[in-house]
Amino acid sequence: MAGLNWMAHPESAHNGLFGGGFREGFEKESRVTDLVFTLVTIGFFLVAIGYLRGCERLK
Amino acid sequence: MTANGWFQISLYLLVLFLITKPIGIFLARVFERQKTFLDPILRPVERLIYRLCGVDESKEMRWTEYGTTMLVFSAASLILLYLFERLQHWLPWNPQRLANVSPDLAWNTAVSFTTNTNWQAYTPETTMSYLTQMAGLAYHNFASAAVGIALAIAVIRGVSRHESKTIGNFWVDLTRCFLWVLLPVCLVGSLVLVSQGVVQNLKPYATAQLVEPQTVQTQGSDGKPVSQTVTQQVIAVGPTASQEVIKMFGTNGGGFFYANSAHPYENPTPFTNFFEMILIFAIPSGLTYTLGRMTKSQGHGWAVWSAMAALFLVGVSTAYWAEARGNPQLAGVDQTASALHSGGNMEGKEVRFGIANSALFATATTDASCGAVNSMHDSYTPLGGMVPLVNIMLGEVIFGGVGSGLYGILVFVILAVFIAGLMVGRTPEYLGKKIEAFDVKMAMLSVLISSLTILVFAAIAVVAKFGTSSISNPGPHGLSQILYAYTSSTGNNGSAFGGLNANTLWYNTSTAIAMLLGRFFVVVPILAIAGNLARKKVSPASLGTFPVTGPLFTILLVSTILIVGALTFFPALSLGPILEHLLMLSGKAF
Repeated sequence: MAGLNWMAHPESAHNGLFGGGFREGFEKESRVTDLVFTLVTIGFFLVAIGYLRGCERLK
Repeated sequence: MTANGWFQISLYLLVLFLITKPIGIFLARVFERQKTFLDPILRPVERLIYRLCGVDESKEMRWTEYGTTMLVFSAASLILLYLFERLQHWLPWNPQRLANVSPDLAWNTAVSFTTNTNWQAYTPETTMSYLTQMAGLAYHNFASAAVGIALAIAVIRGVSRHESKTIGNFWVDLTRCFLWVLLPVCLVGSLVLVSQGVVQNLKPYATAQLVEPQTVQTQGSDGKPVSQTVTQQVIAVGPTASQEVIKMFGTNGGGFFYANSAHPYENPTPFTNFFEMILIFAIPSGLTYTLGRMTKSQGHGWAVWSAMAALFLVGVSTAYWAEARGNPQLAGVDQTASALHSGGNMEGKEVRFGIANSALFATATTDASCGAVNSMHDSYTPLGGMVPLVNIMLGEVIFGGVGSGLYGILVFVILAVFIAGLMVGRTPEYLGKKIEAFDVKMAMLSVLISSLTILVFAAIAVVAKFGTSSISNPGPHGLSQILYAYTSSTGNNGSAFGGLNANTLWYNTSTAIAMLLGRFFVVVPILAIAGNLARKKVSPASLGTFPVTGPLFTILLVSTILIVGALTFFPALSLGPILEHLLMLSGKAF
């Protein structure tokens, strides 16, 4: 059966029970990634508002 | 299965039934702005908030304005949480000096908590500072729950009003939900949990000397194995009780600790286990009564409640039966429950709660969009593990998440009424309002978006290396792990099947997109239905009107939910848990 010991599952091993879920700090590369995720977030919600307007027009 | 187990399941349903009416009445009074016993304290606070924020409480919104406001509020909340996570190392209340969270994980978590999913691809006690937990994650536990309830109330108004252009004011609904519903219950509930032993402090983690030092193998910086002797154990503590109660009451599910409600500091006693399970269903169950009260058709509210209760009983009975039956491959091992041991499949389960309470918790948490766990679903037997999966696939409408369960089942109500109308050859009507093409189109859109998101993302992940490299078990169980991940994230449940390494760039970004689509792209068409229904005239009932009360309607509603779910997901389920079950019977395990 799967998952004989859930604590030994890869996600806990990957995070490290005392190792933290971080892989990097706040370096230059991650600031670029921050910008990307912020833009993706704003982009998604703009699309969602457009989708809402689209639903309204289907009437 | 034991009589004791059935007694506990029956007691749970009975208590749920008894609290439905008082909660439903209270919610209706709060959102219809009638007097409540909390008004003398909370009304001045409410007025102050409106004055500070410049909200005109008398102004109502059309569904488009309501929806846009909700989207903008959610976007701002999401970005705020992202910043908390990314800057936590330099912010206060971080006694463990935890580092900033990596961008993809921070985004996944921010999306997860904003959408009421609370999927956790990280170990909370080693990743999130106290400030992030309290001001970031716990704030979202309240906010996302309040948004869900506000949306449900707006949808009920759409159903109950006629010839009206508006469905309420988002800011007013949000504020009243925070002040009247969530905060008072959480204040009292967290003290109840503290009385049972749930921790609540801001201290650094405690350290204990091991009675018996352990030698463990770790990996050195050069990749070679290194032996290390461990003499101390770090015991994580923190402000848990205050977050535990909203985690359950707001059907959020994100644990303060990685082990979630299986952790003794989150769920220390059988009483807290029962209390936490009741908290999960309290609002969703109460909202069915609110629906009946606000639409002035109490029979309709109870018919919806009965449909939910029937589906819940089927789920919990199946899970309990499958787990209590045990694993047929363990031939020669006594798996019968007795006074000496619990029997059945105890793998991944807490001995304090046993099989009945694990099956009950797993069913409740996935019927609702909670996602908290007190046992590991990955370790269930194939059919036992399929129950949580199916519960989420059905749209989490079996009581469901706070608010989302009710507005989700109203989509199925529209479809059920539409199908009934087709069968009797009359224009379908719902509480006196004609259901037209636009309403059915919107209902179908919301159903299709979630199923499409689950199946498309799962299909990509099972054929790509970046997807399959994260699974820990081959064969059908691996498929179940991937399918569960996208079902849980799209359904905004957040529970993990376990066994899948979800903290990768692919899973962090793809599950986050699934969560966003599953929340916002589903709710917009439902708001459109509400806005459209609010505008309609009410026609008097005739002989051809299909009643939305009584057992016949309940049966039709249950059938609609099951048929839509079965038609959509049966092929995927047959390749995952069903195949795994058949292989298990023939002697092959994964």
